[in-house]
Amino acid sequence: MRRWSGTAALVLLAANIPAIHAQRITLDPDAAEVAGLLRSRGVAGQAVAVLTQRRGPQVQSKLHAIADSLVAIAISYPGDDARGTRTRAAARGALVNAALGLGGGIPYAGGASRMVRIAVSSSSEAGGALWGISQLPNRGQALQHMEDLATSQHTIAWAAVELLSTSMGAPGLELLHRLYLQRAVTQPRAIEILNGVASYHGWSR
Amino acid sequence: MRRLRKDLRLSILVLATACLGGEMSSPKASEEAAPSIELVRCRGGDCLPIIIDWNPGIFGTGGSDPCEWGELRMNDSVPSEKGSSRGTQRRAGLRLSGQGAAECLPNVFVECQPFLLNFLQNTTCTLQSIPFAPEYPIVVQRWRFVGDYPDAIVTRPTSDWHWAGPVVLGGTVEVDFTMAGITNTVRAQIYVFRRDWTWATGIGGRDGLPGEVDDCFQPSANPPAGITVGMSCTDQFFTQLFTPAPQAAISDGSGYSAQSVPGSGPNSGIWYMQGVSATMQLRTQIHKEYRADGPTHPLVGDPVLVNHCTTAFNNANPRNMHAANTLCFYYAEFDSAVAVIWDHERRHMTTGLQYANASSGDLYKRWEPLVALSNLELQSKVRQEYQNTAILVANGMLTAHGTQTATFHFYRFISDSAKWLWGPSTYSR
Repeated sequence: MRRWSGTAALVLLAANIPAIHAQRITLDPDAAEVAGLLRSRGVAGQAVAVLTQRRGPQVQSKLHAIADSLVAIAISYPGDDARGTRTRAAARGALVNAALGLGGGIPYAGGASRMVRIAVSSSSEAGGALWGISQLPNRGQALQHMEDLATSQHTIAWAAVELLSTSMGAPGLELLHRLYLQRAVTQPRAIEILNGVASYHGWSR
Repeated sequence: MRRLRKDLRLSILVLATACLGGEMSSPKASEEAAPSIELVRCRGGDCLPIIIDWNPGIFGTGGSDPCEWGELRMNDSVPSEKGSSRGTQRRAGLRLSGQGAAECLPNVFVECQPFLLNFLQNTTCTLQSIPFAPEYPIVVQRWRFVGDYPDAIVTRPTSDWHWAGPVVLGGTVEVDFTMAGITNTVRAQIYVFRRDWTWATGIGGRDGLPGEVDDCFQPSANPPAGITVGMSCTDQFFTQLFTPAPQAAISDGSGYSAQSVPGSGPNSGIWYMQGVSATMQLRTQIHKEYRADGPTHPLVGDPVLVNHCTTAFNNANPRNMHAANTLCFYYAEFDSAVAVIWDHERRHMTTGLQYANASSGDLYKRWEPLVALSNLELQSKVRQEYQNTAILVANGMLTAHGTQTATFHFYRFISDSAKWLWGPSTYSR
């Protein structure tokens, strides 16, 4: 090999490299590029900057296409290994960070409904999406989505109750009190948690 | 074409001799990772790999531009998830057309050495011109780093030909420059090996000591017979699994520490996770009513029990449920019920640890790559992953619930009637 006389060897060696160079990070990625980056390297690149329009206005259809790609990957990218975890987390994290406007720009308005989709469909990323919903800058929207989830039969209904009690301040507790009085929470684990919250705060009905 | 082929082989030999001759920056890397080589074709600062086919005897580039240029690159390593070796790259420019360079502008590119980096390792990115042509002065306008995770950009307006500093995340280094009145941009990629963080060796669980997590049983008419919770749970945050708890208690200095990259290099000012201390220490416990240290109740109710206790203790003092069913008279089914409750909670603990030990439940793995442009933004991302992991593990623990139940008969003190009564109690296995 020292003389590099075998040309086939050169071709084979060259074939190892494109993975490094194939996916350059660009400032204005579209949905295909974001999905490609996530699938090839487990990173979301500049997806958040585009979704929050940090570098200028974007066409809404482009934003929704990127967000839908993030949802699809957060929910369905396979594997319980480090790569699968990292890729799903990067997709979910990008959507949540964009919906909250972390890092500046305009919070992505289409993020709330998409976070709900992740929260009810992904076992590994549900909590991060739920946290994102609880932190939405539009507090009314955040409370409405949390109420919908707390009164649902989804496996994260109990977690919605818990977050309402620990992370959403007085409005969260007021909402929980109302749900308690109305017996609106019906999932068994969520009822257990709500009863505990009621006991701590001395609610009765 | 013959001339080009000769140039290529010469360049390959030069590169191979340089790399194999011991000039690598890391001898360990050269021993462990085979060098790889590639040829790229460049246009306007962007270079794409060319698949080389020597066999037909003709090396065709497919282009007609006499000034089209390319590079031969030799890499001593490639990135891997857990790799720790350093990477260097040797590059040689060449005319793909095989024509002389006199009538062409020089090839300008940016090179970062090393480009495969350990966390916080220094890299130096340098703008290069081959051949150096003083008749075409180059003016650097701006350096920019575009991060690949999650969103970081660092810009440095400067005329320097170098940009150096420690890095914590990979991405694209770009240089805007003008040459012969034309503005152009060239780019290079850098890669940072992630730190191999895991919390698997630090998490754990055990049976709780009496009083350790008793506050986490919320008072109610029908309290749970047992619980599995984090050691930091309280009467207010009675479901918390991690320490510190709750999620709102997580901040720089509480559960993790953050730092920003010093200096003025490609990652300067980016906040990263410096250290982690959050943990998960689970505790299983049965409700105090079932324990020997449980609360006592007046000896009123079923005359059989009253008689047993009065005989055993020679008085009619109040007794707790444990004493009523084991000391006044031994009822084996009470002990069986207690054993079933402990088994049930220990299964929750075992399952919780399994989930927390999996890649997706490993909080440190989720935290390790987080970066942000401010400490507050980083905190939000940290809390997001904390909450995600906590719910993932908690939902995993709930899968330990079986569908079977077991029913046992023993004496219980019924609060509503304020009496001891004999009867069945049913538990999930």
